[in-house]
Formats: sequence, structure tokens, C-alpha cells
Amino acid sequence: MKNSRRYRPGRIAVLPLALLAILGLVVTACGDDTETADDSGSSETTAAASEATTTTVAGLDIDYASLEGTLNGSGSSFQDALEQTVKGEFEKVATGVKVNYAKSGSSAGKADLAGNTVQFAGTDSLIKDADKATFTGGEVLYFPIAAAPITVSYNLAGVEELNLSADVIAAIFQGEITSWDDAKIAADNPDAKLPATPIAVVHRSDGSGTTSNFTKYLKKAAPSVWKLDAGDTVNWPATTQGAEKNSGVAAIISSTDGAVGYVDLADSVSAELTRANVKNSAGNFVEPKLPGASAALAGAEIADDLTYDPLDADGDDAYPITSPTWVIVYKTQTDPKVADALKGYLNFMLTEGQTLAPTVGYAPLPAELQAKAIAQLDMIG
Amino acid sequence: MTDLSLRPITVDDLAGDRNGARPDTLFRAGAKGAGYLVLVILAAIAVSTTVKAWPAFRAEGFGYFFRDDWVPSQGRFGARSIIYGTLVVSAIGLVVAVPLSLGIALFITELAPRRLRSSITTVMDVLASVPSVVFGLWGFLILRPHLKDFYNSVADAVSGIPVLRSIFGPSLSGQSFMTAGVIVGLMIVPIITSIVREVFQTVPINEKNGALALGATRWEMIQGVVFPHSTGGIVGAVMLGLGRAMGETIAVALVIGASPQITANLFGQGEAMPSVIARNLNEASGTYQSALIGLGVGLFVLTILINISARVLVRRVDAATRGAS
Repeated sequence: MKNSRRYRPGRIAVLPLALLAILGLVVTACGDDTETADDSGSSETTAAASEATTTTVAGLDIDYASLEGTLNGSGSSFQDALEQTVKGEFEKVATGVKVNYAKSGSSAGKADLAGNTVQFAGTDSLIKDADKATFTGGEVLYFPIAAAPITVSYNLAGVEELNLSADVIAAIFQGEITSWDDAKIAADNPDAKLPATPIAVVHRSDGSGTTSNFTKYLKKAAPSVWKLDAGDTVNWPATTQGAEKNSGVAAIISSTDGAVGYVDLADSVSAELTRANVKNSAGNFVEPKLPGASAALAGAEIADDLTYDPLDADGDDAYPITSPTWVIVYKTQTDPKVADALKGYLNFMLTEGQTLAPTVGYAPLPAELQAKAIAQLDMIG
Repeated sequence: MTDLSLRPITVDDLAGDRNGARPDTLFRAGAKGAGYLVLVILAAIAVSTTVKAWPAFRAEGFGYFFRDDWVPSQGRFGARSIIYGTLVVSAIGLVVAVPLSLGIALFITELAPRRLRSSITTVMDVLASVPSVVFGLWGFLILRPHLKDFYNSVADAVSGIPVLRSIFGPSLSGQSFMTAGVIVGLMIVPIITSIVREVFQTVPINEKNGALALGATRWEMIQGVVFPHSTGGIVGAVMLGLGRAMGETIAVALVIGASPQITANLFGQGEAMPSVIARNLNEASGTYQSALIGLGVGLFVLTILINISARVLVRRVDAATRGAS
């Protein structure tokens, strides 16, 4: 400034002091924080996972060390943790191969494969009939690689166990049941002391495959109640609220008495939320754990191209809200080296990868499906 | 350069060498170009976004701005509740930030001991450099749970009073217009403060001393000399802060609750324009994408309207205060 300014700038001495003060604030703030939801929480996930049965089906006999090349993949963020773990282990044995996987979302992954910019894509949903023509490389093969449960997590003081049916979940998420002591909830929970706490419904605010599978499940299992249709985003009632990503939904639930939301298992476990048991098509209330997800895969009807719908699947132990996920590749490969590397990677994913899956929160494929997927590997070429 | 003080200046000195004309022309062209470039960029952004957003505008007509049903899955885009959210959050932000900023600026320029001045200024600068996502996460993880209890106790306290009852209603989880507004308010405090402080420092010291010499208290001096002198600057600073508040994306997205609705309840959840764009643009295609870009156009228009009205306001106020003195 031109005039009347008396103090001299550059009093460096105060700067460290100010920084120290701010640091102090930050540290205190962190100390207060009891609900960070973003921790990986891998130990707990592993604990939950260790109950899953690991299957042993022999894979193809491939000499991984002889493979070479670079495999680029993109797509589903849901399967990203599995891809990253498996590719790390795979690159240790197949030293000549470099695998890259970018979590860009299922739809982006499919578009990338259609445009031939990647060698494989990860997706949680099937290719729409209308889009099939855009896949310039010809026929696409689906390889199921794992599955995981979507939990209905809640926070309700004094209620450690809760049974919910699809109709009740649909009514809650549509804002039709607004209090926890509603007669419809009580009917499935005769022993629980349900308080009159208002229900705070939390959903994903970003477009999400988790929302898509959760709403697909409600559409399928509660057709007479659910009116919001299914999709990556739906028109939630204004009485509900959204939060960013699985971790954001989990954070709101953990800090709000009376809150309920859908969260994937890994984030629900790391945020230490309570999870409801969900009634499956056999009439049993099943807790959301990996064996339940594997059972859902086993109970689902598998089509010839290995696509299937594990939502509300048959089976006494099947957990009904189970998300599928696939790797998709072109059947006809132009470069034999790439074809061999792809085969090697998928073979590793379907054998050793299945053993690794529970350690990062995914249910491995049931033996029958695993064998079918391995048998399909020979079609790549 | 020659030392001109040793001899009288001649015409030759002023003319310089003949080559001086060329750099001058270049400079003028460069500066003019830079000035016009801003206008060109602005126009280019306005035109290209409007073109991109046109399919949504055409499909929805005026309903785009005057209907409430934002249902991407069914191709219905009525953005009124989202625009409402942006306006409410920005207004709360200003209510929080303006008094705080004026107070800090007055303290720095008029009251604080010299030693404290520079440290407060430094802290404000550091605050201005905190990334907005950090504000957002802090608001979401730490501030929100505390605010929720505060909101609900306020809601309880006013539950018997007709109008207040609907403005300060219950909050489910603390995600609300108010939380977003408070966060945004804190974020724009450094911006407004630093400009207002500079403006206050331009107030002529003689006039201030004159007022004090006439027996004015410090507050009377501030009222009578500092504020009238700074009206234009203060409004300018507030407008800059408002622009930032309306465009703030990630911090608001984290704490507003993502539930478009028009409600008087400031403690209820809502939705704001930049948040919707940021969350959904990478997954959207077709009309949905146009509708999201349309929100950007709406934000653009809103900012321009507010800026123009602020300029008119400043001119009126300036004319009034000049006329008075």
C-alpha cells in the first residue's frame, strides 16, 4: 500500500509460532476423531474373511515365467482391491509381465474395452444389448472372479442384532417406515427392544455400482413395495440423505443414532458398524459374511457365458444382497503374446487369486463356477 | 541511464532513442491483448457450455430452472431445489464470514499491537492456503457430529415458536445447509479479510486523526471515517468471497447431504449446484451430462447477475456518501 502503513512486513519470527499453533489445533482435532472410516481395517476384514471356505480347483498348467508383455485393464472400482493384490503376486512369478489396472468405473471400463484401449476390463454389470455393436474386437468373454456382500449397516443404541426382510428394507429406504419401533420391523424381531428413534436413511450421493446392485436387489426381492427403480443413482426421497462413497456413508452411520445405510462389507467392518441379517429367498435371516456371498454364487443360475445374477439367489445360506464382478476380454486376440499373458493372468486370478480374495474382503468363487471359468480360458486366442 | 540531475533536461532526453517507439507499441498491443483475452475466454466458456447444455435446456424448457424433480434415471431435470441450496449455503456463508472478516480487519488495522498484526496476517494467509477438501473432511468428520447435537438442542428450544420452529428444525445427522454454510463461511474469511484490510489501510490517516482530534471515540471514528471511505472496497471483497462460496464444490459436497429439497429448515439436508456436477459428471452421458453442464451455466449466470447488482449497489452507495460529505 502506498501510504499510512506503519508496520514492516517480514517478521519471520512469528511464522514458526503460528505454524506451531495450527499444528496444535490439528493434533487436538485428530485426537477427538473417533470415527475415521477410511482406515483399511484389513485385520478385521481378514478375520471376517477367514471363515470363508477356500476352494481348490487345479488351473491350467502355464509357465508364468515364460510370459511377457504389458496388460492394461480398467473399470470396476469394486474389484480394484482384488486386482491390485492379485497383480502384485502375479508379477512376482511372471516377471516378464506388467499388469496395470485403473479403477475408472464399470461403464468407463466397458467403453475402454469397446474402443480397444485396454486388453481387459473389470465390470459389475453386463454389456447392454444396445452397446454390443460398439465392441469392435468381436465376441466378449465374461470371467467371474469374486463376489462380495453389500451390508445393511445401522446404528441403534441397545440393538445388537436385527433381522430385516426385503419388504421392510424397501419401506425403510423409501421413507415409509420412519421409526425403529414400527410394527413391521418388530414383527421380524420379537426379542429386540426397539426404541422409538427416528430412522435416518443414508445412501450414496455419487453414482455407484453399490447403489445399482442394492436397488436391483430391492426391485427383484420386494417388487410390490419398491417404487424407485434401479440404477447407479435413484430418486431418493428428500427425507433421506446422501454421503460420498462407502466410507462417507459408514461415517454418517457410525456417528448418528438411528441411522441405516447400505455399505460394502469391507468399509462396514473397518468402521465397526453393526450389520443387519437379511432374509433370503429360502426364508432364513443370513448375516452378511463371505460364506453367505459364496453360497449366493453357488445358488445363482449360471448362464453358458458365465454371467449370473447372485441377487436374491436360492440357497439356505445364501446372503441375498451379493454383488457379482467380472473381468471381460475379447475372445479373439490379435497378438499371441498378449493372448498368452492374458490367459496366464486370468489363470492366476482364478487359482491363487481365489486364495487371496478373502484376505481383501471378497468371497471366492464356488468350485463349480471356478472350474467353468478355468475351462473357458482356452477360448482366448 | 544518465544522471539527469547534473544538467538541465533537454528535448532530446525526453525523446529517448528513436527505437523506443517499437517496444511501446508492442507493450500496448500485449497489454490490450491480455485485457481482451479475458473477455474472449469468458465468452468462449459461456458459449461452449451453453451449447453443451442446450439439449437439456431444450428438453426441459423453463422447467429446468423452475421445477423440483431432479431424477436422472428417468431423464427429468428440474434444478430449482439445487439452485435454492446454493443460494442458501452462500447466504449463510456470508452471514458467518462478513462480520468475522470485518472484525478481524478492523482489529488488524486499528486495534492490534504492531507485533500481533503480522502474526495474525500470517495465520490468515495460512488459512487461505488450506485445501478445500481438508475443510470438507474436517467439517464432515469432526464439526458435523458436534453441530448435530447443537442443532437438535436449538430445534428443541424453539419448537414452540411458530416461525423459528420451521427455520431451525431437527437435524438427522448434522449434514445440512447450515453445516455447509458455516464451512464455506470459514473458507472465505481469509479472502474477505485480506482485501478489506488493504482497503482499510488506504483510509487517509489525516482524516482518522482529524476525527479523533474532534473527540470521536475509536468506534465513532471507524463509523464516520473508515466505513464511508471503504464501502466500495468492502462490497468488492464480499462479492469475491460470495463468488468463491457459490462455486465451492468439494467441501460443500461432503457436508450438505445430497438430498435436493426446498425447505425452510436450515438444519435439514439439501444439495448445491457445484456438488452435483462434481459427483456425477464422470458417470453421466447424453441429456444427463447436458443437464449437469446446464448447472454450470446457471452458476455462471447467477454469479454475473450478483456481480452486476453489486456494482450498481456500490455506485449508489458511493454517490450517496459523497453527496453527504
